[in-house]
Amino acid sequence: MKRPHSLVLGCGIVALAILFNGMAAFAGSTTATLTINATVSSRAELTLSPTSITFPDASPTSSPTVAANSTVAVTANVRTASTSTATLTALANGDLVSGSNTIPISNVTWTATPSPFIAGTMNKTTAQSAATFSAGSGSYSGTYTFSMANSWSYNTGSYSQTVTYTLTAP
Amino acid sequence: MRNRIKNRMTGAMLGIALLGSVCSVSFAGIGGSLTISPTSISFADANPTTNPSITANSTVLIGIAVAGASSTQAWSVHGMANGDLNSATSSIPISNVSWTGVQSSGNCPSGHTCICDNGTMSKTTPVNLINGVANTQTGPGFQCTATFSMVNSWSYDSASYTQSFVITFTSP
Repeated sequence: MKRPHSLVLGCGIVALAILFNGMAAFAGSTTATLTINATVSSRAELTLSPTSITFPDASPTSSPTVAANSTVAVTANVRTASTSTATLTALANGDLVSGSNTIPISNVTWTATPSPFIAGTMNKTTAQSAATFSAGSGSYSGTYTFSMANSWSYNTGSYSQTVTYTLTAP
Repeated sequence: MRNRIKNRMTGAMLGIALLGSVCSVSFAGIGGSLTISPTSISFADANPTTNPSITANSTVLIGIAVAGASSTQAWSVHGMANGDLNSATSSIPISNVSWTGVQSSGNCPSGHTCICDNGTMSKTTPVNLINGVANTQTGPGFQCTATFSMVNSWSYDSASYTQSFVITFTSP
């Protein structure tokens, strides 16, 4: 009378053994996780075009202000932390010079479009802000338009000076 | 007494039948053994102007060994991201990460095709990495080499980003 019980138990052991063997045949996971990492570092890239402009000669009486021969296209690409703010400054390396003659660099001003680029006046001692960026990264394009105050006081000559633009992404 | 013996034997036969059913389910089910190597990849920093796309530091070998499938049974290996690439304060859309898949080894039975898929990561929809029909070759199975790349952009905030991409073997 107990034999049927023994038979059931015996089959159960065999059945479980087969079941486990079947699972073992598929050993290994059916799910795997790939971790993806990315590093983004701070960097800045500034382009100006053209890199040279000229103020033509003009009568101070009829043209108290002289426009440069070309506007300057500016592109500022910045990568910085989401809470940090990039800066763009312009610093003249001196007054406009022609031999022993000079024209104060502060006579050169500019306007800018669109935001975040801003208007300003050239300075040879203090870097002037040329843009007010929002915090974080971005790519910006704009145009600077330069003009120079004209004066009968300027001695004749061919004047020149360089201005250094610095884009910083902290 | 005869009835009790008869009842016991009937119960025993029912038990055998049930256990036999469990056994057959186990044997008839499709199974897949999935492996990936390495389990982590990295995208290095690069200038978006000169490098509009960044290739990961390593390709990923994805292997699948399928057993127990019928000759017409389809299966796939798909992946889904757990979210965008995240840092503490910023994120990069995970859809900016994509891959190309190329068969590297293994095969499927004659008359069946296993395919390494190209794709773009998604955090909402599983995307196929490999698909096929029937069992794969025994041993290492079927293997694809996936080359991952990420769209680069000046809009990314500087930070260290990470995310998990869960790869799963499934058969409908």
